[in-house]
Amino acid sequence: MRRWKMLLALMLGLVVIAGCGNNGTVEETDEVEENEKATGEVIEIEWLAHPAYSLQSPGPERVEYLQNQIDAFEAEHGNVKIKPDVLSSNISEAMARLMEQAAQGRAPAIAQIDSYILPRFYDYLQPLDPLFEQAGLDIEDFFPFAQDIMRGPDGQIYGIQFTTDTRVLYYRTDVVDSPPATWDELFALSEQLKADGYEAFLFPGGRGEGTIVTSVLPFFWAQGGSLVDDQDQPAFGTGENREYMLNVLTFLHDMVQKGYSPQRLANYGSEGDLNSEVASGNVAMFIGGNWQVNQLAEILSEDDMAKWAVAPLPQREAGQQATTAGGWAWGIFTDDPVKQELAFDFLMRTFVGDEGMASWCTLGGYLPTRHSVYEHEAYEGNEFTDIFREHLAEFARMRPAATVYPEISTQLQIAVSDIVSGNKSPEEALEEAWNAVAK
Amino acid sequence: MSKHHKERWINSGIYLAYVFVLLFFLFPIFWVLSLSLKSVQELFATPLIWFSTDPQFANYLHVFQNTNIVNYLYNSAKIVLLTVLFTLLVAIPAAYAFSRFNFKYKKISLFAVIMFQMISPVVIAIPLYRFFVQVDLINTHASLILVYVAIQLPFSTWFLKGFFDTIPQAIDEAAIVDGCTRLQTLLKVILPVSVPGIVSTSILVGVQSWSQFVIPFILLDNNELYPVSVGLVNLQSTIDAITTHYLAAASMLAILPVMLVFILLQRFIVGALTSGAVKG
Amino acid sequence: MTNLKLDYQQTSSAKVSIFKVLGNSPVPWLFPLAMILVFVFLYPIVDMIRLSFTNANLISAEYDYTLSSYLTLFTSSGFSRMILITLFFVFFSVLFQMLLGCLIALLIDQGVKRGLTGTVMVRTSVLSAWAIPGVIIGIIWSMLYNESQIGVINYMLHSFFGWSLPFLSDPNVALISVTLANIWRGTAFSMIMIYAGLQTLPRDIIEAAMIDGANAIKRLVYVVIPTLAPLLLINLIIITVDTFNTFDMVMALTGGGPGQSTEVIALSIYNRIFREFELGQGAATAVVLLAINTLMTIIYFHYMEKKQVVA
Repeated sequence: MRRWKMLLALMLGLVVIAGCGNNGTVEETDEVEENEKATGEVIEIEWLAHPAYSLQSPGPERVEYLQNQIDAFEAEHGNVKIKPDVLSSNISEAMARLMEQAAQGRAPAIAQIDSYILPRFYDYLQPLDPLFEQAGLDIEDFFPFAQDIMRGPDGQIYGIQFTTDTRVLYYRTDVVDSPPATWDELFALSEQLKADGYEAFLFPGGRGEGTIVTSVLPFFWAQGGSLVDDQDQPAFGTGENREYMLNVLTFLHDMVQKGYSPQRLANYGSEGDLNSEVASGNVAMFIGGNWQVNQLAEILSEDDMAKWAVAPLPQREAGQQATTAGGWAWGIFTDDPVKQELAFDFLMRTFVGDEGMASWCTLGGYLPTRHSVYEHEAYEGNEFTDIFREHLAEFARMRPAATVYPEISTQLQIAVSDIVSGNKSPEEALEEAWNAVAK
Repeated sequence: MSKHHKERWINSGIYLAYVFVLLFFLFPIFWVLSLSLKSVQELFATPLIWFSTDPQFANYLHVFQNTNIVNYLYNSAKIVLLTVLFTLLVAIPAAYAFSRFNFKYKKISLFAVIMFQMISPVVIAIPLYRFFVQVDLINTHASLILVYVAIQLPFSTWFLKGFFDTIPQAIDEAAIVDGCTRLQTLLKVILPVSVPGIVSTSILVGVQSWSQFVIPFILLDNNELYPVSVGLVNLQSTIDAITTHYLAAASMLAILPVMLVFILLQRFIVGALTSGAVKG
Repeated sequence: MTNLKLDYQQTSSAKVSIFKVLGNSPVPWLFPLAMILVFVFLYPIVDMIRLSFTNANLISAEYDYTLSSYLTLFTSSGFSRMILITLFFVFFSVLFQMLLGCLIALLIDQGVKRGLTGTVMVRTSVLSAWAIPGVIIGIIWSMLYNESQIGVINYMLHSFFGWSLPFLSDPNVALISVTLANIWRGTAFSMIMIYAGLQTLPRDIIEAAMIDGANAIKRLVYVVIPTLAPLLLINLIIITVDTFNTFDMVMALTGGGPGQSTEVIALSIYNRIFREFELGQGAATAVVLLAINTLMTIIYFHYMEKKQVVA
């Protein structure tokens, strides 16, 4: 019985402490806010970023860079504070939530938006043309695909894409003499690599956005396919688009069936999931994102790293080319002109201006979205940067911003992982995905 | 075979079974610990490394410094404690009424309460989110705790009712004859002898609330308010960095407090549950 | 029952304060409970049912009333498979959580009686698994199940037996893997409930059985299990409903893949709403889950009433 009493006392004590802590902090923040409002001393700029682009980033150098930029910015404007917040790392959920916030007028001053989805936020975002002009930032300096999404239907600029990425074929130069340009060449080469005991060709094939942007869209687009029609309604399951999509799915199916690609790809939904396979030293080729160069350099020994090179993706027919561009954009939601200007200034110095974009992209291993930044002294790419840049300038595309895209993507992820795991034939899988989306 | 011999064989059998149970339940945790102390090269090394030769405690330091894990844990603890408190405040009177009163529709009401136990949090989360936005209660621990309490109430009420039922009615009858009101009877007579039942309810409510994911995930969009379950999802592999070791370290930090509580309080937990509360 | 008599005694007493009158009606005692339950559950459920008859989308404000969500759901080829997957997941999770829970409870009980060391450690290790949030369990097991050469389970299988398993990439194996992780997570609850039940068993029953010469197995089957039946039933209801509603762990482990081979109903609701933003479809699926849970509960209660478990 005594034990029980002690325990009860302990628990009550904890409750009281927790309760007090709660009240204390709430009052405190209220007071601070009231003071600020009364004296007009401090302007808070809410800055919502993806975890990897925030002070919570796993990379210490990034955190240091961002902290320095914030400190410098706050030192310059004595009464301004950056108030950081982070997005959920699941991008589609984070974007859905930001959309709800924006619709309810609760969006932060600055928010990071997945570039392809930016057009859906036009209604809530502030036009930036005057600020661009004031800062001497030329939108023509951006890659064409970035300009497309930054400009709204009225011709005004609604966002700033500040990083991008692209997908390429990685191959081991010691076992692949020349990278395959077509699927036929890829099959022939894979047969030989398989005989030599290699995992010939890896791609993300599970449930995750990486599967669609890396393993499906580049091949689909290169043939001339389109996911949605002019009215933003699903179109991948009818007419020529259906044929193109079926070609892609059959290609992935055959790679697995012939034993060139392992079934376990059905469990890898993002490009980074392939890293652990590559680390085994048994992989000959894989398709992945440009940022994986840095990750591989971390995992592999210098000698092993030197064996890898990149090339354009092998396509169905020679001469076809396409790849996916991704990346992030900043949007400014606040309607207060003072805050807008401050927010823009912060973004310029940290992520968008010459120095800012060069430094941030170097740190994160991202590709700059502005041509001139590639020449900037602060930008350090890697030995493949020129190839990536060429890819982006010539044949990179963005996913459609249609409201139906998340559904299309999910259904195609299901289709691909079903095919890779051997659960369905390409025809069946496509049929089901189309039925689920078209309704 | 002598009896003594037989006993020894049985004991060895039990020990062997213990080993299997321990392996099954502790191995996953051991592996997370191992991952959390590896360097990036060791994470991907072939053949696989069982335990780092040079444990990277810096991984933990990194998680402490660069994530809000401490804050997440504090939030979780606060939410769980307040949920337990308010659940008890509401469930104890209700359980008392169900145990001691006779009224029309009693059976139906009790059944109705249990029916709420069947509702998946994911079903109610979206409408609640929209409602809380309208009344501007979104992003507060108060609204979150209200929902947590509601989720815990059906089971706790029912569990406590079961416990009160085991207390002989003669005790409160005597108290009422002595001039006590119902409330006094509950406070002075029933509660003191119900401590084990209340503690086991608290523990069950606490554990369930600690694990809750959907509700905070949807009702909160401010990183500073996240409990540990939601906070950790943010750490899960971002595409442009290798985070397995950090994720493992953060998971260990999220597991440790609970393990600690269980190790310290384990006598109470088992004691509370075994003192008749689960008679049904 | 004695309560009735008690009530009359009180209300007929001469000096009745308002407090006493109120105190003698069950209404004030139950009022907070009813308020909270109605507010947090009833309104959202009505709203969800309403939404299930619309084509609402999470990212656009407009919607029309329609039956298309249900039509799509019931006519899609995936629907019956989703139900089967869920039933498999729930049935085997519950079965093994009960069996394993019972076994471990008996082992610990015997251990304590025989004065063996290590019982506390076994108990704590099982309980720890239970207290880890589901998403973290999903993350942990995805590390264990990793199919490349850094996956530890496959590494062990390979070094001992020379083969490995497609834990998460084969549709059938993936469903088993997910179920196994869920058994790991949920066994503790059954274990502790049954262990507690064992402590409350009247000693004389067991002793009587021993005098009768019943051996251990017979004792278990004819004495222990029947005595614990009400407890086992309640435990069964709780974990069945819990497993039907569970998805956080599966979400972190497979996201429902490969294909939809591990997409249990609760996860499907989540995926429809939060990945595809299809609120109408998600709501319709939610109504189906609600219907299943209601049905299950009614069946259980019907059975329990017969067994006189509920007062």
